[in-house]
Amino acid sequence: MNNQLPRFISDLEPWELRFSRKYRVELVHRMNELLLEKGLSQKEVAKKAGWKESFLSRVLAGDQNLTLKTIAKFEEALDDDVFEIPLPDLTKRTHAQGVKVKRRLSPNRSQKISIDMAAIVLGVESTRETFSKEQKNCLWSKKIVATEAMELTDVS
Amino acid sequence: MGRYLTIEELHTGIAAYVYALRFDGSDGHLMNEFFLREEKHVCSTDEMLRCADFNFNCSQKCTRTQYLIDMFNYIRTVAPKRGFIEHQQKGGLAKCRFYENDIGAISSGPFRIYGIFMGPPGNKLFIAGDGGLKQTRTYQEDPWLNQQHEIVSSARAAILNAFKSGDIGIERSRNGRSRLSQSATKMKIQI
Repeated sequence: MNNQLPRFISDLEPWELRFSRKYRVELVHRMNELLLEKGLSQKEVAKKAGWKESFLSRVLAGDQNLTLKTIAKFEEALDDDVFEIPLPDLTKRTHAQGVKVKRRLSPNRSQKISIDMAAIVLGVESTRETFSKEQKNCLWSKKIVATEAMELTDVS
Repeated sequence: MGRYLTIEELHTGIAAYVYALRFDGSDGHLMNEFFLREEKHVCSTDEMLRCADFNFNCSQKCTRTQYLIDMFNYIRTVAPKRGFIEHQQKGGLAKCRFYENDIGAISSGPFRIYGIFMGPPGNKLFIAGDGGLKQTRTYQEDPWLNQQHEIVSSARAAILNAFKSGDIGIERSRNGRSRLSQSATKMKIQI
């Protein structure tokens, strides 16, 4: 048997192969699929995205070098995602990892973050004001970085 | 005395199965021969002058090679993963085209690989044959492409006869995808 890979494939760098498969061919196929799923015409999508029809035609034919802006405009016009960026699974984060992250932050940086988060929770304008007893209780009840917020109030 | 073809299973994915035709006794299947033939191609001066890139060095980054890379990746990775769905857009991207009588082609720019698409719409398997560079308006005008189309058509007729006699059949995989029965890969098709 002589079913070896063609030279133009075997000579490629791994990232080039990935680029060709994932971002050149598969991405454009996904965009075409989305258009079929939504049942929209190219004319409608081009109008929504503010493009010429010829540009969209080139995009969907794979003749256009796609930028992230182009993909974003396409997604907005179709009101759907071409691809999703997965969120980190926070449930797998252990207590030990959390402590490690905290220790890496300098005291000032940690304090700033805590002040901002506390301000968001309480809805206060100034982040440097001293919190009242009721506000501290509110922080505890919401259980969001409460301990840090308490520490920073003592500092301030 | 006719020649014999066998069917070889190439790639399987969650959405489609890809097979290839092989002449009995040959080193590789027809699709592989197409790619190996194209990689050895050296552009003539005339081709270089007509080349869209004006790339006289003919490096890996030339459009011609890019079309072949796209086509290879489409058949090997993208189609088994996403299935064979016909897109209306004309242009450079590797895609499948369905013609009449289950015959179709994988096209990427000016390149074509002819083959047989079998199964219901949206759940098709592909049996790849040989192809080439299409420089004429229709493939019938090009003797080489016409010959490849004839081979694929003959193979399709032989496969349909085998279906009727019950020697082989199309079955469903675990995830409901169309695939040829095991006996198909052992069968010899006379053309």
